[in-house]
Amino acid sequence: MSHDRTTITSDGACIVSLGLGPVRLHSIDGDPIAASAVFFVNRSKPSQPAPVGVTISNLKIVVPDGQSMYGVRSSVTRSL
Amino acid sequence: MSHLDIGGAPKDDVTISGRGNGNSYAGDVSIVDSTLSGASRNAISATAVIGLRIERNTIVGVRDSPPGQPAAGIDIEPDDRGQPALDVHIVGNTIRGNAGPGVMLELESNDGPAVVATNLEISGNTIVENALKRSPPKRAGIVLAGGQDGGQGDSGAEGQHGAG
Repeated sequence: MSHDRTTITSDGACIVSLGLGPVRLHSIDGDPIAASAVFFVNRSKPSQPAPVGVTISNLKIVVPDGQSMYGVRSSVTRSL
Repeated sequence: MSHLDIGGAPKDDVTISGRGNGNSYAGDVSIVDSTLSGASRNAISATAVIGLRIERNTIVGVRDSPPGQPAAGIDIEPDDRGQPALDVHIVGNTIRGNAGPGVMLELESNDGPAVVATNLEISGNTIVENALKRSPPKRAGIVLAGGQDGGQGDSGAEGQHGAG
């Protein structure tokens, strides 16, 4: 999720992790950063800012055993 | 984030950080009215944050897998002393049945005390039956370790219910 003011909500949907997503970012020291969460909230390319105003609500999120995955990884920035 | 039910076996149910976002911190994050369970490391990890509200959640069953994780319900832990822990409010949560501490403010990184670690509030939570395993490095209901460099930070923990 990389767009400002995005809302994800439902009346009780369940989302199950299937594993890592693509690498679109790298850390300061060059390590690849894959989309390692069911909801990975960050910018999608280095030239863009991190998103603001993201809402996630009314969901069940499941990460099956054996995956090195997170439920939500949020790197939203502050609203200016 | 609100009214979420996160479970299974995630590494963390929710991680808050600035990794890769161009700012090196996250900001204006809230996690409310949710159930977080089953994490292997922490239910909530925050490594660099300015403005975080964690309110009215149920946080249970952090597993400590593999053994030696913090295994906390909530772990506020900068990776280095330059990462902020500013304006963090942990209020009205039920935190129980975790392998490690219910709440951990680990504010002294390997390279020294935090430069910015202030306005941290822990109040009105029910924190019971945590630190269930011997393998996490720190075990308590609430762990307060280190603080802002020079002792200038402002933090408070009051009005909790329970015994660890």
